Amino acid sequence: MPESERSPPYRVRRMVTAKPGVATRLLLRICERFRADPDAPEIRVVLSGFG
Amino acid sequence: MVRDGRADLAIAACVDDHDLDIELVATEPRVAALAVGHELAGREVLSTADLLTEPAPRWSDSRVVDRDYWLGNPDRPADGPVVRDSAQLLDVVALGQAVALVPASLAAMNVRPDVTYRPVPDAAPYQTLVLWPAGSRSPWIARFVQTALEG
Repeated sequence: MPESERSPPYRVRRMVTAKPGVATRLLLRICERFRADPDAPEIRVVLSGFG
Repeated sequence: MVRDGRADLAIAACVDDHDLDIELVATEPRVAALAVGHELAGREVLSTADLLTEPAPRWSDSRVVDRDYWLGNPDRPADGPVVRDSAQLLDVVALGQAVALVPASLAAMNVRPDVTYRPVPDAAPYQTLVLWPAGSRSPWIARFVQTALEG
């Protein structure tokens, strides 16, 4: 499948927060690491609390 | 959502840990968010007892285990407006409809002219936890948790 047709595996699909908090910044840092690994699967993560 | 399989992991502040494994990744103090004109805003430091008679926001999906944590004191009634997210929470605080306990990092990132923040040293700290199904052998969940702990 061409790269352009692939769904980006590590994206934040919904974010409701005043500004990104500790949890969101943590998640984005982990996404960055996983994105660099072509074998990484899709992982579904839910954020709760102040985000 | 983790228990019923809709999510592989959660990053949360407070949880009933039944059927879940948990790792603590960050801890920080909580502070009181008040309207700038609130009478308690004139004090340098507050306690959870000071907040007992102040209306507390209610999270739309809050359970009992969470509610006591967000209130800071189980004797404090949750009788303020219902909120769904942090932005709504700060709006009801700014309008003088509630006083909320929030993590210090949220206060630092949400400086606004109509809300002030005061330390509440006896409030339980805000914890950022990673949670996943108990006994999971997934190497990717393990890697996720390890990455979270690396800081």
